Order: sequence, then structure tokens, then C-alpha cells
Amino acid sequence: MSGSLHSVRIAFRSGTSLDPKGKEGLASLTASLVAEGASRTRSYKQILDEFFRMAAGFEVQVDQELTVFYGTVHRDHVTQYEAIVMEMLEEPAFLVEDFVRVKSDLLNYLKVGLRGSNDEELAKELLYAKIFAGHPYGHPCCGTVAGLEAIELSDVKEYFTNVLKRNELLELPAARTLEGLEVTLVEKEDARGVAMSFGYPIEVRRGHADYHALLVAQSWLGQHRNGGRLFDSIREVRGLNYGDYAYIEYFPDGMHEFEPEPNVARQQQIFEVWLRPVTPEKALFAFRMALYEIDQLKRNGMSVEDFERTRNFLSKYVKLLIKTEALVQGYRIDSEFYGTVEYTRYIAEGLAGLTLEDVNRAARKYLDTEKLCFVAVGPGMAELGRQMRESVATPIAYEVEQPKEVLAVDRVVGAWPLRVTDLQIVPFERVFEN
Amino acid sequence: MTKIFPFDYDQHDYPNGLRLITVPTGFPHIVSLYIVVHVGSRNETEAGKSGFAHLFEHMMFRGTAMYPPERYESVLKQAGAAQNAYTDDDLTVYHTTFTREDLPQILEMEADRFANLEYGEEVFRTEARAVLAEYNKDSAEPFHLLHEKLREASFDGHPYRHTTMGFLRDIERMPELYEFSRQFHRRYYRPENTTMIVAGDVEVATTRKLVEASWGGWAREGFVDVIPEALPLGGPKDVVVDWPSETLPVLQVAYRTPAYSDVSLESAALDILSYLYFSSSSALYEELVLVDQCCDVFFGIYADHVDPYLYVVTARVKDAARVEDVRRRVAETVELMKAEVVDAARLETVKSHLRYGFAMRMDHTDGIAGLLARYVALKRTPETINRLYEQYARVTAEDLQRVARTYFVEENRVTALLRSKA
Repeated sequence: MSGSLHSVRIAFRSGTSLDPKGKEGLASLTASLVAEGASRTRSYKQILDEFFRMAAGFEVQVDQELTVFYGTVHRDHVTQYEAIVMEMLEEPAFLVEDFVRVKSDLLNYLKVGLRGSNDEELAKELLYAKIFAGHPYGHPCCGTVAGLEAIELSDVKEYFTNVLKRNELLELPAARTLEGLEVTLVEKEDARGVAMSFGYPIEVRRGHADYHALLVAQSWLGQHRNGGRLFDSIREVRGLNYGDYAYIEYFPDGMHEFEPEPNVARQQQIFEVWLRPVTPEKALFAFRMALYEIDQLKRNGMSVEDFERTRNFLSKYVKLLIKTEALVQGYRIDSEFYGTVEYTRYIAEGLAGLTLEDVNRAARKYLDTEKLCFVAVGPGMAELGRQMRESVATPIAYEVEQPKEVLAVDRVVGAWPLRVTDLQIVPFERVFEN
Repeated sequence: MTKIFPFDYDQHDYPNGLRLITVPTGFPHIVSLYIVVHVGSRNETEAGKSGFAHLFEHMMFRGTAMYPPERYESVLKQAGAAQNAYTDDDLTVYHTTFTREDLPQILEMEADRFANLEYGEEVFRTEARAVLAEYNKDSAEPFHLLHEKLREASFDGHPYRHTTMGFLRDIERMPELYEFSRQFHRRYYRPENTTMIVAGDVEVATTRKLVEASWGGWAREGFVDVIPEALPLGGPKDVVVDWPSETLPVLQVAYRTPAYSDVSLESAALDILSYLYFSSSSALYEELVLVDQCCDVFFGIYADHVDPYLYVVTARVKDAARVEDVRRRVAETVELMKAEVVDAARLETVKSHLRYGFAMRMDHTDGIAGLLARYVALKRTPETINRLYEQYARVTAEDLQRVARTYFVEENRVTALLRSKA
């Protein structure tokens, strides 16, 4: 049946990291206007009507280093579809009314969608912005409020003509070195829970000699929406939240996606942990629990059984990811970006030669529980800040009886030392203003 | 006409009441197993026990004597399987996708889980708190609160009054309901209340035998549920919901509509009305989103349900001062739906959209099985899809006008507005 569908995916090596200073959001706004605006001979309304008849669409995804336009259509409509999307890509009309609409949509996404109602994604995006402060990755792909507001239609036209369609790899400065625990707390007094993310830059990415070893360690800690050590320890045993996951590659929109989307490839990645909202009084304990588990892996390594099981899981699981022609295209673009062979082959071959010692060595080398950025969004941030700065012990009490092994671990976790080197508290309305 | 569902499927009933639907999709290597239990928040008829179907979905991952959670997880890891579950108003679905050689073991392990689930009270209490954490996570999003309040106003006497998550007050006392949870399992997690979909790189005869071997011994219970009818709405009703922080106003104009049906035209007509008057191709979308630009989100939807539910038009308004204007224009469009006989070419465009839209979703095994699960929850057979599309083909402009006049009336209307208190 997939033979009856036809997918188009066009990628450029441009993106948010090329946004000019003071016009953060220009890459997203330009690409969105191409995908959601009129072209030379068709109004946007006409385009929507044509797509509606075909039940097709044409979307754009902008990341730090990649901009991709993509869509799928039934074979009955390929010729007409391609004529429409090629005109959109080659000859966008850049009408004022479309510009005003798309700019307002992006501002609303930032203010209402992200800042106002998605605390978890806000924590994740702010984590990246903090880790990459002063770096071209230092603001989110949707831009900043001031940046978006400053963009004129002429900026969009200029970016489209001179930047969007570039195809060379970007030269990026190195990520900064973290010196300790850098804490950013976003106050949102009406939230019911505290959403948390933490992490730090890593040199490992696809193509790096340690990629597969670190992938196994990450998967064992917390494979996205598929459980793992953090999930078991924080949610299953202690019932503290809904889920806890680790990453070695950017993974946006985890609230809604179960599997990674292609084409968010980046030359520089971070090791990242996402803790889903925890009630305020247990939030710091949950963070410490995650640090404890990472420390355990770093010190003790994985067991041979866990290693074999995780490696086996990944070898098979990656084959489930590339389900459609659209995804085949997306993964191919990423393989080209990273200079690796086809993705499932790359994973299979890398895992096949891997040893337990490779994984444990990578865990010792790349896992860190001290030099990292931590972001929390929720209520009661002044108190959380005080507890973190003073490394106050946060023992935990349960409504149910817990085994003595769990309580023994809890005593260590509750007193886990925190060495905060920087701590800021900001109201959520101020995040990504500039 | 040609049937819209493009695969030859096999539907087989076992003596214990379990129904198996096998769909060889032609896509290689991969198999998706969707186990649909015909229980959802619709079945939560007892006071103080809303949200229980969803809580129970969590409990299903707490293991059996033969497969404690660690062993269960280990088998899934060995298989490289992608697994998850969800609960909605009319169904609870457990789905796993994996490579074909693992089908026998996963079927056997799932059969054990459904028949022999075992957990203690302390595990139950811990999981009940994870459900509260899930509610807390969802509560950051204003649409959840609006949805809660809209339903509360719309369904006196029927369990659709609460969302699948349940009332917060009930979620908070869930840890006390361990005994009820055991009863819930006995009542609903039974073969006669379960439909299994096995799709992908599978053969019918082999799959039937495998399922027979592992699921054939699961005993029937025979519990008969009685779901009360909702009281008449007594509309129009208006609800205002305050959101504590920065957000845009969201207006929902809802009408009570009939239950999903594949033997009458109503469901098909209501779907078509959505596309004609409230989709990205509608005149009102053009006015509100593209020309006036006073809304950034705008759509209308008839959501298929086992019992009568709601048709909801949703508009997110960029400027609070424009809310009344948007409300007026939605009302004018509703009147237009009742007054006009829609142009034949325009109707045909919507029908084309529906046919191609369906074909576009038949491109991978997991997506096919997932879509089937939604329909199977309604009528327990993939054939309902073919019947629904036959109804779409039959709908005339006059039918649309008649259906609009029947259901889009003031007595059936509830309007909910979410606004920022900040």
C-alpha cells in the first residue's frame, strides 16, 4: 500500500543557529512563511484548498542546523502536488498579510503554547539555552519574543534569498565548560507540579567512536517512553511522577512523540535527563534520585545481563523506527549530515562489535553528576532554591510501606550533596523574552 | 463500490468470546498487536470512582506470578518491542509492535497478563500516586481544564460527564480503592469484552492457532454493564472557565449529537459538515484565521463515541475583545448550515478528501492497527469502516441540511469559554 503514496522531503543546512542577533526566530519565521503562505500564482487559501482535496499537506521543521520541508501525497496527485510545493519553495509571494499571521502564530506559540502551557518543554528548551548561552544554539528554534517582534518582512526576504538554501556544514564554536551545578528555577505559582530537565554538553554524536557505547548506557537509564532504570526507580518503585528519561540527542516534543523525529541533527549534543512533573515537596528528592542512579552507573557499570538485553533491544527497536517512505527520507538526510551509513545498519554494526567494557568505560568518561545545568519550572522556587543552595537534606516519606533496601537508598539520596555554583530564579513570563 | 479498507482481514470468534482480527498488511517483518478492551471512562458509573479505567491501564503493567514486571520488561527488551497503552471514553488499548519472530512469545506473555494479573495493595497505592502525577502534568495545558468543564456541563447522568482522567477529587482518593480495583479486573478484563488485532507480516491460520493456544483458556465472566442515558441537556448553557496565567481565550461551541452509527447517515453527515463548515478549507476558517486573523486555532469535530456525545467547534481567539464577534460568526455559520443546500461540487471535494485521507493512513502496520483499534472499539469489526465510507458516499446535500436542522439547535448547545484571569 505504501506504493500508493509519494513523499517529498527537501533539506537545507540552515537553521536557528544562523538567526542574526536581535532577530532570533528569523529562520523559523522565514521557513514557516514559505510553508504557510502564498506563492507567486496561488493565494494561501488556494493552496489550502488544493491540499484539502488531495488530503495532503506541506510542513516545515526548523532546527539549529537543518531546515526541512516535507509532505506526503497520494500517487494520483503527484504532478499537481509537486507543482504547488515547488512554486512555494522557489517563488514564495511573501505577502504582508501572511507575514503578519505567521509572525503572530510564532509569538503565540512561544508565549502561550510553550511558556504558558507546556512546562516540561519549557524546561527542556531553557536547559539548551542555558548550556549553550553565548553560542549560536543559545536560543530556541521558535526565537525570542523581542527577536520575533523585531523582524520585518524585508528581513525574511533577505534570509530567504541569501541564507535559507545554503548547503554547507556550519562552523560552530565549542560549547562552554560548566564549572559546577548551574541552576535556573522558573517560578510558576499556579502549576501543580515541578517539571525538571538537566544536562551538559557531550562530544559524542553519531559518527563518534563512543556513540554506540553511550547509546546503550542512555537506553538502559531511560529509553524515551519505553522505561529504563530512571523510570523504574523514580516512578515504578516510588510513584513520584509519570516518567523519567535520558537522552544523548536532541529530542523535542517528548510530551507528544513516542519515537524520535528525524532531521534535528546537530553537530553538538548534550546528555540530558527529563523528569516529568513531581509534586513540589518531592521535586528535589526526585532530582537527587536521578543523580544517584547516574552516579551508580558511572561507578559500578552495567551488569552483563543488562548490557546484553539493552544491546539486543536497541538492535531490534531501531528497525521499528523507519516505518514509512517519509521516514526513510528523513533518516537518509541525517546519515548524510553525520557522515554515517544508513541508520539501522549504522546502529546494528556498531552494536555488534560492542563490549560491556566499552559501555562501562563510556559511562565513566561521559556521565557527570556535578558539572551540569539544571532547570525547573513550577511553584515554590524560592524554597527549592534555598534547599539547593544550602544542600538541605530532603528525606522522603511514603503513604505505603517500602522495602528496607529502598529506604536505605533513600537515606543516601535524600542527603545527596549539591554544589551549586550559580542559581537564578525567573518568573515564567520573562523566559525567552530576549 | 470498492471497500475503503484495502486489506483482506480475518475475523474469528473463540468459544470464550474473545474476538481475533488478523490483518496481513503486506509490509514485511513487523507485527503490531493491539488488544482492545471494551472498557473506558464510559463504564465508570459509580460515584467517586471516575478515572478508574485509566488507573487500571496502569495496573496492567504490574505483573503476574509467572511474569513479574522485571521479567515482562526483559522479554520486551529482548524483542526490541515498542509498547504502550492508552485509555479513552470507550476503550482501553494495549499495543505492542515488534518483529514477526517474537509473536508467539508476546502473545503468550500478554495472555498471562490479561488472565492472571496480580498485585498487592502497596503497589496499587504507589501506582495511584503516579496517576495523580499524570493529572498534574496534564493540568499545565488549558485545553484539559476547558475539556473537563465542558463535559461536566454537558452530560448530567452519564459518565461522559467526566474525562478519562477522572475528577481530581476521585483521583486523590484512588489509593483507598484497592478492593474495587480487583473487582474492576474481574468485571471488564474478560475475553467476551476484548478484541485483539494482529496486523502486519502474519498468516491467518497460524495466528488463529497461536491465539487459541495461549488465550483459549481465559474464562468468560458474563458481567453485563448498564450505562445510564444522559439527561436532556436543557440548553443552551454557557460556561466560563478562568485560567490563572497568561493564555489566549478559547471558545468551544458544542452540540449534543447522536452515537456513532454505520447503518444510518447521521455520523457520516456530521463528519462531512465538519469539513464543509469548520475545516481549513471552510469559508469561516478563511474569515477568522486568514483574513481577519482573529483566531489562530479553528476547527470543528464530531468525535465518534459509543453513546451520544458532542460536536465541538473550537476557536482560539488572539484578542479577548474579539470573542463575542467569533461567537456570533460561529452562530451565523450554524444557521447557514441549516439554511443552505450545499453545492454538489463542494460536497464531492469533501468526499474526495475523506477517501484520500483514509488511503494516506494505510502506509504502515502500526498506523493501520492503531486506526482499526479506534473503530473496533465502536463496533467490534473492521467492517464498520467500509460501512461508514458507504454512508459518506450516500450523503446528499439535503441530508446535510436535515441533520444540521435536527442537532444544531439551541436546546442542544453548550458554550464554554476559557479566559485568562491574569
